[in-house]
Amino acid sequence: MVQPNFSTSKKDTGDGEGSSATAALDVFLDNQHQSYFEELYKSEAVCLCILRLLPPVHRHIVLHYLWSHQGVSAIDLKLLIQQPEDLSLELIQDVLKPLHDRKILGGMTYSQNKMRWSMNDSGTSNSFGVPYQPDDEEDVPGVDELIEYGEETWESILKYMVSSGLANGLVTIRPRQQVLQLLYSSGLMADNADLSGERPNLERLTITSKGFQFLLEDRQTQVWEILMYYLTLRENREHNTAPILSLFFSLGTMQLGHAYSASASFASQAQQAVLSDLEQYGFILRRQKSSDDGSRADAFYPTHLATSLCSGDLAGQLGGAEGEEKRFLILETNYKIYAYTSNELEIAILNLFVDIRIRYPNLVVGKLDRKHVKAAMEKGISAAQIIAYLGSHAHSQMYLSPPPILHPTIVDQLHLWDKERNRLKADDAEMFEFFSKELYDDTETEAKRYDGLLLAVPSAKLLFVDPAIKEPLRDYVKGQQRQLRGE
Amino acid sequence: MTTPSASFPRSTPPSLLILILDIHPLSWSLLSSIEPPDPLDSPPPIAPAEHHYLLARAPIGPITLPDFLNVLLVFLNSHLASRWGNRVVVFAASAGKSKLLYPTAGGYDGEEGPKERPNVYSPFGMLDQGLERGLKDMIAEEETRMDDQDGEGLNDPPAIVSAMTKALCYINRHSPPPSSESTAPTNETRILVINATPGAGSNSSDNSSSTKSGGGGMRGGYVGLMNCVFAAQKAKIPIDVLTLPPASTGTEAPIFLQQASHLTEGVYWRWNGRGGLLQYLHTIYLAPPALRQTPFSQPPQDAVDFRAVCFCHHDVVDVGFVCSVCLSIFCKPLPVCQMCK
Repeated sequence: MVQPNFSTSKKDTGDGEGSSATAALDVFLDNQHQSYFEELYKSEAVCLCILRLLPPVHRHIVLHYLWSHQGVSAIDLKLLIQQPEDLSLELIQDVLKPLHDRKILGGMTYSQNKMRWSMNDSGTSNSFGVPYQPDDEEDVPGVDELIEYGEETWESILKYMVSSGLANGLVTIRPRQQVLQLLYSSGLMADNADLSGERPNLERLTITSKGFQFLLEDRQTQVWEILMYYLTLRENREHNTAPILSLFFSLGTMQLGHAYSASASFASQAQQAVLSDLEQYGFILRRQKSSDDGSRADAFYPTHLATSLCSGDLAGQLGGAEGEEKRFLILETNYKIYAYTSNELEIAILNLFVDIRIRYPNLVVGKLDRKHVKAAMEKGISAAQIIAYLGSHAHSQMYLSPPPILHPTIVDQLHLWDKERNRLKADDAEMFEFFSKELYDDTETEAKRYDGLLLAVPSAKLLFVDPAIKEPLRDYVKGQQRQLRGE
Repeated sequence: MTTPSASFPRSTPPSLLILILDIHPLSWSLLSSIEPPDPLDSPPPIAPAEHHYLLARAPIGPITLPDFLNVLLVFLNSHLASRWGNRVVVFAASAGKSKLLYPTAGGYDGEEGPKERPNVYSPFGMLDQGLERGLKDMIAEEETRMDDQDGEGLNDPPAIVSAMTKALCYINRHSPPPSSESTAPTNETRILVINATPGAGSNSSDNSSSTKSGGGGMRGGYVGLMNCVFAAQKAKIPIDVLTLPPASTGTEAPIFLQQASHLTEGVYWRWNGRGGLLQYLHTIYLAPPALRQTPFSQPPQDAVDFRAVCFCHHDVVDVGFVCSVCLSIFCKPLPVCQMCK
C-alpha cells in the first residue's frame, strides 16, 4: 500500500504566513492596468504601503534604486544580488516580476518621485491623514477603547455569520443593511429559501461553505478579503475604485489613538461615503456630534483594524497580552483539545469541528473526532484549514515541545479524514469493448502511451479511457483490426 | 534552471537599528574643510571599471554636519519604511560625552510634542523632528559646557564607547535575548557607528597627540570598547562602522572600530570623500543582517589591523607582553603585572 504523503500540504500550512494575508489584495492588484496604478500612486501613502507589501529582497532593490539617477541596468542588478553575469535576461525579468506586477519599474519615474516625497516629506496629497485638533471638552478615546471597539464590531459580524449556521444560535446583533448586502454579494452568506438568487431576503441569510472557510482565516486575511469584496461591490456600481483603495492604504499608515479630520483628509464625496461604510466594520471610530442631529463629527479615530492593514502582523500591534490571548489552544495527541477562552466567537468556531464536552468559565474541553470533523468538512472546511487554525492558535505551552507544533499523528489523521470523503472520484470516460484478447492488450498499451487509461478490466476485456484520447484510440483500433484481418 | 528568486527569503524579522553618531566638533570641522588633493599628487586612475567611471571622476569634497544629517534622515526613514515594525534609536557621541537623542526620553517638557503633518508618515515625522530637536539641545549643552570649561575637554575623543555601552544596555532592556520559552519571532538588532574622527596616526612623529587622544582615539576606552565588542559578539549583534574622514586626508583608519566590526561580523567601510553618501548608506548599510550574505553583497572587508593597545601607556603596540593571569597587555616586560599585582 502506498503511504499517503502529506508533506507538501504541511509545508503550506507551516510557513504560509507573511505574504498570504494580503492574497486577496494581490490578486486584485495583479489584474490592474498601468493607468490604475498611476491613479493609485498619486498618494504617497499608497507608495509606502505597496513598498512594504513587496517581498523583502524586492523592497531593498527598490530602495537601492530610489535615489539613483540612472535607470536599473541588468548588470548592476546582477552584481547587487550576487547572480552570475551570464544569467539570462528572462531570469532577471523573472526576479523583477513582483516589481513589474506593481508597475514600479518601467514607469518608475512617477512612483519614484512619490516615494522620494514620502521619504523626505515634500508631498502634497495629504495622504497620511490630516490631523484633527480635538477640543478640550471632547471625549478622546484611548488606545484600549479603540481596540475594544474595533474587536467588538468586527466580531459581532463574524458572530452573526457563525450563529446563522448553528442550530442553537448565539445572541447576536444583526449587522447593518450594507454589511448584510456585502456578505450576500461576496457569497459568504446566502439565502437558502431564495433559490432563484434574484431577491434575497437579507434578514434570513445563512452561512455558506465559503463563509465557513472565511471564519477560520486569521484576522488580517479576513480584513483584506472583506475590503476586496467591498471594492468589487463598489466597482460594479461606479467605475473608479482607485481613490477607495488609496483610502484603505491611507488608513493603513495612520496611527492608533490619533485623531484625524475626515473632511480634510478625504475630500471627495465618494471617499466620504466609503469612510462611513468602513465605520460599520469597526475600522474607524467616529463620535456623533453633540448637537444631536445624527450627523457625525469631523474627527475620526482609526482602530487597530485599520492601522495594521499594511503591517502584515496584527498580533504585534496589539501587544503581548492581546497576542497571547489569540493563542489559547492545547491539543494533545489523544485528540483532546483544551481551549482557554471565554470568547463566544472562538467557542462557536471551535464548535464547528470539535465535539465540545465541558465548558468552564474560561476553559472549554473538547475532542476532535471523526464525526465532527467530517461534519465540518461537509460544510466545506478543508483539513488544511483546520490544521492552520489549530496551529495559529496553539498555546505558548505547545511551543515548548519540539516542533512541529501539532503532532504529526493528528495532522495525518485530519488529512486521512479529508481523504475519506474523496474516495470516489467521478471522471468522464469512454468505454471500449473488445472481442479478442490480442487486440485488447495492444489497445491497452496504446492507451497507456497516451496517458489516458483510467481503468482496465482484463476479465471482461473492458477499457475505460479519457474522452480526450477517444478519437486517436479509435483510429488505432480500426487500424489494428484491419491488420489482423490481413488487409 | 531554477530562478534565483526562489532562494530569496520570504520574510525578515523586524529590525532595530541603533545609530551612534559621532558629532565631535573638531572632527566635523576637519570634515567640512577637506580640500581636493593636488591633482599632480594623486596617481592617475588605473582603468576604472565602466560602471565605476562616474564615481572615480567625482571630485573629493567636504561635507558638513547639516548636509550629512539630511542624508542620514533619509536613510533612517528608508530603514523605517523597509519593514513594518522597524525601529530606530540614535545616540550621539561628542567630546567625552554621549547622549540618547531619539526616542526622546522624557517627552517634551512644556512645549507641544512633534506636530503631525498630513504629508509625512507619522513615524518619519517623529524621527525627523525628534532627532533634530535632540541634536540642537545637545549641541547647545555642549557649547555651554565648553564655554564653562574654557575649551578644556574639547580634545577628548568622542565618547563612542560610552554610547556603545548605552546602546547595548538599551538592546538588553528592550529586546532581551530570546529565552527558550518565548514564541514571538526574535527581532534583529544591529549597531551602526558613524565615525567622524580619524584614528590618530600611529606614526612616531605624531607622538604628542598620540598620547593625548590615545592610541586610535580611544584613550582608556580600549578596554571598554573591547568589552562592548565581546558583549555584542555574544549577543550576535553586528556592529557596522562607517568612517567618514576619507583616506585622502592622510589620516589613519580607526583600527579598533575596524576590529569591532570584524569581530561582530559587521560591515566596515571608509568613505572615499567623493560624495554619494546617500547611495552608499542605502547599498551597504540598509539591508538587514538576514539579507546581507544572500542575496545582497557586501563591500570586501580590508585587511584588519589587529594590533592592541598597551595598558600602561595606551600606545598601539606591534609586540606586546601579556600577563598570564589577567591577560593585560604591556609594551615592555614587567616582573609584576600592574593590573592584578
